[in-house]
Amino acid sequence: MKKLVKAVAVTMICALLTALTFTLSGCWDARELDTLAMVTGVGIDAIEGSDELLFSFQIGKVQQAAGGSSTQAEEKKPFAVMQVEEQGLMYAIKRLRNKTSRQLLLHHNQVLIISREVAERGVLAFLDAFVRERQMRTEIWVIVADGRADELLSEEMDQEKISGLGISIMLDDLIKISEVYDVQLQRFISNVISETSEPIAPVIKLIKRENSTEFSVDSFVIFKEGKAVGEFGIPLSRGVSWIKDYLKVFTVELPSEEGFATVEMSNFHNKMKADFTPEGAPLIKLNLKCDFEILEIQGFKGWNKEEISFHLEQVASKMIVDETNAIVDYCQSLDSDIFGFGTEYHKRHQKKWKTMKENWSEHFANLTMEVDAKASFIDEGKISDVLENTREKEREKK
Amino acid sequence: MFSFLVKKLNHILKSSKRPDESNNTEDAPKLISKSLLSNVEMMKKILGESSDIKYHDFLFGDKSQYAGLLVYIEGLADSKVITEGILTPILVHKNELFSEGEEMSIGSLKRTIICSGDILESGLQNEVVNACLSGKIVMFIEGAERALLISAKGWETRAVSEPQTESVVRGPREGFTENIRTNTSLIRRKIKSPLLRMEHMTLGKKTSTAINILYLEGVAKDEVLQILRQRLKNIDVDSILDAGYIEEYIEDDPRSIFSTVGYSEKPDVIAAKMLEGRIAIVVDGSPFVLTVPMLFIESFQTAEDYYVRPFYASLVRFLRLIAYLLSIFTVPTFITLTTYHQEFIPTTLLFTIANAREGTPFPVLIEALIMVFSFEILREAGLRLPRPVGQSISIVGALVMGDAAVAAGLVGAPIVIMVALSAVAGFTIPTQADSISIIRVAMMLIAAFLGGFGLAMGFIIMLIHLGKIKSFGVHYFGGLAPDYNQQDNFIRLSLLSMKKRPMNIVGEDVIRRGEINNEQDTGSGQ
Repeated sequence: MKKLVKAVAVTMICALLTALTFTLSGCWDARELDTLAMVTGVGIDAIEGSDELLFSFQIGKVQQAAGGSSTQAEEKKPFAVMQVEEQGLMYAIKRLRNKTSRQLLLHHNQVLIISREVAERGVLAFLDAFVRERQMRTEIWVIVADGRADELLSEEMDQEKISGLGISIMLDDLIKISEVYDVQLQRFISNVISETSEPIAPVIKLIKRENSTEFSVDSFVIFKEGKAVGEFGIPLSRGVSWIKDYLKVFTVELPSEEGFATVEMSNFHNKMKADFTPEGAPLIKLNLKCDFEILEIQGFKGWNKEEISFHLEQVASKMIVDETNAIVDYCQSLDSDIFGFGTEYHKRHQKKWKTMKENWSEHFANLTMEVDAKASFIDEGKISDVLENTREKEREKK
Repeated sequence: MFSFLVKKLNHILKSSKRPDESNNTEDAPKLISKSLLSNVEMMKKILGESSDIKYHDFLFGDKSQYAGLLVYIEGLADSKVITEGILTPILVHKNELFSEGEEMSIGSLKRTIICSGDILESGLQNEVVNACLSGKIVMFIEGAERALLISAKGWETRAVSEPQTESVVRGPREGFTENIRTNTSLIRRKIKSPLLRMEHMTLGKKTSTAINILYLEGVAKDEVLQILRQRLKNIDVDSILDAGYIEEYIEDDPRSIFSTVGYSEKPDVIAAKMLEGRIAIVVDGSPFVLTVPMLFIESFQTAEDYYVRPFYASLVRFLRLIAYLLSIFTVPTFITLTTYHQEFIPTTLLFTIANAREGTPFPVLIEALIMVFSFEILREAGLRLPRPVGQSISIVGALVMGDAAVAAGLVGAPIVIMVALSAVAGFTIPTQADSISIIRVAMMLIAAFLGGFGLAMGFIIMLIHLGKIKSFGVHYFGGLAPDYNQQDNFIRLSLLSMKKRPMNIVGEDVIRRGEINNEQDTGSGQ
């Protein structure tokens, strides 16, 4: 009996000691949540007259939930922005630890914001850390700031207070309505390292109003070998969407002399074929079919439903062809293959590709597009005629 | 150091194993004497001077030439039987019966005079004493070598009522009582088959508790029956006060935290289990009837599953399985996610959790342990307290433990939610509730030490253990293998498709139902 008591006592003490070792010292890689600083955005700015970069980290601050002190006089920002001047990201993070009480948690980083100046200087060098470090996710958004990157990070968004989170949610949503070609880090990197393709990145512009701050996505930056070389806005960016098969639903306005219509396009069937002209120059055949339904019509005085829908089909098809050619022309002028046409030739014409890839930029400049677009009308909404016209028709009846 | 520990633990564990067969040598049986006086002396010597033991002597025969003695225990023996069944016939009709000088014998008394349905003769001292103690009336006659044991049990018992633990919305509401005969009769009423067998046994040297083994001949497996009889025979203790005593003695693996003996308070459940080939053990004095062998999946089956239509029954059973996993794994998963794998938590959720964790003084494991243990304490207190005081416990539990602890910033709100969820989920599987509590704490510690990896290992170890243990030679996980007919496991199929009894527990009589001929009904629809 004595032995048993002894054995039990020894076991208990051992168990207690083990438990204490494991729980109280914070050993191994266990990290309590209240020792971590959650990074929600990383911004990179250039420093004038220096090779070093200004790294800004947006850290989501957690409110002091305890104590029940709800009477806070003034509402503080729910995040902090910490900045370090350093050549590389990882050492910047290390130096940042000297400044904060908490360890940075990079897993939840949402955006990488590069200032336009840095984008023009080149992004390849510092992207290394983003791909190498295990904590970094490759699903983060790569964004070019129209202005300084840290400005974007230090402003609150109207709905989502933490701008890093807000931008990521906004871009996620934009993908669904096909406004933005999806430029997450993994795709950006794979385009950067591929032989011929080049990435693009959305530009976010900060517009400060009296009562609100807007983060607006209007244009995209084209990269060439890791450096920003050009920029295009909304009508051209639609051209990217037509070529890239990422479209699901797309709302466009169709202006014509007779009237104006807003339509929602859907059911896209996108067929791209890499081919050659009789002279041997590359020829991309793009066949795009889609349906549209009318969301809004104005004008078209005296037209009936069939006439309008037929007319809109024509306008829409022509618009797709025009916009596609426009963006391809623009990219050709910059010698930046953002569409991955090179990859297409690589896939389809492997033998020829071996010789083509040597001077792809030459081939790309000579490339011609043959776009065949067909938009079909499917639905006109709750009323069939233009509201302005129905009134006149009623009068005629009487 | 470690080897020492292991040795000690082994020693302790071995000593807790089921006791092996041990033959207790009995003395040669003692006979009762012919003399009434010496019998009285013998009884008084064995039973001592107890105030509830009554000795009633009387003379009978036409010339009062015979002397007799009744020994019984007041409160156990029915006084009505004594007056109307024994004394009245003997004393009132003495002239008619014993007039012609006829030789009076114990046999003729038993056969012609005493009015009782159950009379035995015995000449052995210990049998006589035991009979007296179990409520029979012992009748000694001067000059007779044997005594009459007249059954006159009449004590207060609880009426058959709705069971407290297993209530149903739809289905029979009667529950077992503490009386073994009532209980066996309740089962007999459910199964009116000549194949229903009841084997009697008395266990416990001091308590002499009556135990009945009930089974359906042919439906129950012979091997299981053999093992059960053997194990019951091997029980050598002085007391059996409840079915729980038996359960612990006949388990396959007393070291396992999983119970391998089923129990129920409802006759319909026991009958259903017996019809699937299980064997019931009814213990006198306990409203819980045990069944063996027990399968793991049995914990997730309730009586009501079979009384409602299969679709809803399947949904609820699936819910129970999920609740089982939730009950064990919510708190450990929360611990491992917040201390090791923060990247698994969606960003906005992470901020919510971090907000709640901010400013709380303890590591999340300690926080969780505080909540889990205070919940277990509250539950235990709520169970033990007299009912009128129980109200205050729930107020203390809800307000002080939950609300105030969070408001004071001692624990985070998410952990309160997690603990509450896992606790409530545990109540959906009452038979596994005790093992869940233990596994939950173990998993919490593993999760805090080793993270997600440890949690996965813990789960695998738990599965290996569950796969290893057996109940009376039947695998605990029996029937869950994919090659087995899955008609009554994770989902309950229609009764129409359950043509056979569960193959792993049933004996020879496999077929549950014959073909149903519905053709007659379909034609006469007018």
